[in-house]
Amino acid sequence: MTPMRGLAAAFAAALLGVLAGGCQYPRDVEGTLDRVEGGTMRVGVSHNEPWVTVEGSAPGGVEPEVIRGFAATIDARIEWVPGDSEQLVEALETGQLDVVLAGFTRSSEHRRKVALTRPYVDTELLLAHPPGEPMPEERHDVRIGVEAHSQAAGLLDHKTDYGLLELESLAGIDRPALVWDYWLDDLRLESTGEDLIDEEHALAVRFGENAFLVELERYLLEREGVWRSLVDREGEP
Amino acid sequence: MRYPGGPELRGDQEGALRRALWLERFTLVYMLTALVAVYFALGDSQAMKAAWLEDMLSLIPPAAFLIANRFRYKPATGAMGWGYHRAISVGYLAGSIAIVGLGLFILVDSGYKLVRAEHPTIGMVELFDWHFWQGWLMLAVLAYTGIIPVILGRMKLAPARALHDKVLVADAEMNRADWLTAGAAAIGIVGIGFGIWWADSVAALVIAIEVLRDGFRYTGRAVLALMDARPRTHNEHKPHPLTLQVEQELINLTWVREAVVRMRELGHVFEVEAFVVPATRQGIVGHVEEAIERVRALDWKLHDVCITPVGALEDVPDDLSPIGRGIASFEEIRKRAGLTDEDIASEGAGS
Repeated sequence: MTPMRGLAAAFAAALLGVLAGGCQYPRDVEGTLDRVEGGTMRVGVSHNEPWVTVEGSAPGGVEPEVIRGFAATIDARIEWVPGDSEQLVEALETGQLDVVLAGFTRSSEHRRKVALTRPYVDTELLLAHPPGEPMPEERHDVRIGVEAHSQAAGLLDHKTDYGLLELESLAGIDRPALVWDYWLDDLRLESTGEDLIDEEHALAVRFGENAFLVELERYLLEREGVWRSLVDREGEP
Repeated sequence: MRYPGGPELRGDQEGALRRALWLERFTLVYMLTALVAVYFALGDSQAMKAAWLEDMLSLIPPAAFLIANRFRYKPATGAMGWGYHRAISVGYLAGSIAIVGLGLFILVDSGYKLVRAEHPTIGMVELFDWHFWQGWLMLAVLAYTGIIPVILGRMKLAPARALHDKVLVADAEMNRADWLTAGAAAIGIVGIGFGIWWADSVAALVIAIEVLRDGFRYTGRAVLALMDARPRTHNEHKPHPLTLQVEQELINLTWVREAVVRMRELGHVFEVEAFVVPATRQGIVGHVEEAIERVRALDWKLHDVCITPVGALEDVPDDLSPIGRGIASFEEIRKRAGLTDEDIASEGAGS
């Protein structure tokens, strides 16, 4: 009975502390949120269109746009650190950076070293066709337009029976093609509803910085619709 | 086959058995819901992972009980001369070794994360358009898996004693210890919330030690039961009162000069084997038949009784049957074994 009481007492005291104190909960192991709030947030950026574009002094693309909005809500200044994603992840792991933007997905191999946020947007690689020109029934006879040397070309080759028509650019295509869902508008294509992969995009933060993570994720969750239209706007074939 | 035959359980025990079956089925269903709930709240926490594995282990005793119950009452056959009672001991041994293995896994896994100083990360969760810290969800799930088993564990003790079923006892004990697992995991989660990164792994280590303790205890019991150890009370704390009472019953017979008794547990019933030195060889068959009847009448657990009249006893271990050999009185042995009147009333003859 005694250990049970001791445990219950410790537990009650801990919860009471949280509720009565009204202090930050959960907290960071290394105090990231306290440091960046009203201070400087160190953001690693690695080029990966359309998620991150590193050209000139200020990075562009979907993810820098997202993090600018977040920084504004916590009154943080951003210090951009361009680099290779591998090196940026190592720097993040050892606490030299606070966030890394590189178009990561939730299935990234880097998730052993850094924490990935909840997905802020889902994207799909879809089979699409021009309006009024439905997909032919016989798959072997169809050659599907796809970007040359891309992940999409590999998937189409290995996962489907379709023939490949590898193109340098899909711009102006007027035949069935394998495209990202955020390209449909630009290419004036219609989805067939058949997708080859579904990617969940996330930002990378440091392990154990739970206050910072929760603050960032709350921001991401509250504006889910905004990110979708941002991706549709930024994504171009 | 046994002499004489007859039903195994007394009529009034059928109720206890039905209650036990109901409780174990309910436990199984409840544990499955707990497993699903914890799985979805698991996140990055070591302590939650440990609690989940511990919940998984809690499936073993009820499953063993329900499976064994399907054939433990099957009559003996030519190939299985003592019947199928021990099926449950085999299941018990396999289950307890699995518990040791999982305890070691949690210990190594959490110890490694602790040494590497990995910082557990818990973010936001979205539940029906409601956004909150996932740690709160974990705590809610732990409350669900920590409180109900304690109540179930208490409810199982009465049928466990009535049926002298050690798997039921082990299950009840495991359920009652569930609050410790859930409590340790909860402290780990609250610790993460306070930015204490090691709280989680330490909580998982506490759970691992608790699981290992259970595992070693149950493995020891199962091995002893399979090695034909002398029967012990349902909670294993003391020698079983019947081991004393059978000796007393035999030595009380006027035709018995000396009696040596060895007993073993076959699952939930006992097998009694006695060698008696008769004062007279006249009418020995009738005497032995009567003695078997008297011993069997003591208690339902004395299921299979075999009495062999012999001319003299040889090579008897010093500590075997002191009452039956007239070396010590029932009262002396009872005191030495620490058996109280209450123990005898609740588990001894006619309980």
